[in-house]
Amino acid sequence: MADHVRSQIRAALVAALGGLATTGTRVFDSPVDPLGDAQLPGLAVYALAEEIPQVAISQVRAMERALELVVEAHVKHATGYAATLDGIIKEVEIRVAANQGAGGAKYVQLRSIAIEATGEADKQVAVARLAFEALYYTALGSPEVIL
Amino acid sequence: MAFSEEFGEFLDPQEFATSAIYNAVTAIAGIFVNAYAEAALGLAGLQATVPLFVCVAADVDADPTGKTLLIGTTTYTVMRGEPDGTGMTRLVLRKP
Repeated sequence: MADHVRSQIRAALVAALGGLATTGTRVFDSPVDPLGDAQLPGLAVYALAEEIPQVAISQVRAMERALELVVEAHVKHATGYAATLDGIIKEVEIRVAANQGAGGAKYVQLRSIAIEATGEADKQVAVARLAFEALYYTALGSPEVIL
Repeated sequence: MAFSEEFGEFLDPQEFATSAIYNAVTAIAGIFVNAYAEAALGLAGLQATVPLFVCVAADVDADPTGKTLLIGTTTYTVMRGEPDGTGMTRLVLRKP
């Protein structure tokens, strides 16, 4: 049986983000352990919350689903982390825009960007969080089949 | 009677202390630690360490920010000094 469509979309996004100029092959699917120096600069891709609005009171046959996809860019620099993060953001935005149908999604739209940084480490460390919304449809009881 | 202490006795490179070169010219001794400290950024975080050097405050500038500290083969930049008020100071370091 195929994976849930949310997994298919996440996997497609991970694949699409490979080979960017700054992050190269350092694209990780849903990591929970802290990234080490050999994994930086790198991307972490997550499929998080999903909103499934009720479209009718009667029996629903199709489900509209808005999936929150998060791409986190992790960097560690002696100086100038912001320029590197901005460069990665640019590369990710362009690549995602070119993959609007990733995993069968109707679209993958950027919703927000947030930056966290600290100097309380051996170097500057920072993370850019790019939150996307992926819209897709499945049939009731068949979350592995994209409509 | 004023409190007086010979800090050098606590900073013997033959025992627990580490020798370093402050600002490329001055040899000083201190306690160097570089312990693991995860940077809790993002969902996963990043692996990091926090290099610190505790030394006699009089051995370094009142504001050592931006000075260098050579420890072994690594030249750190001093991000700030944190005097403890007893005559010792803690230098917060950054790797090149």
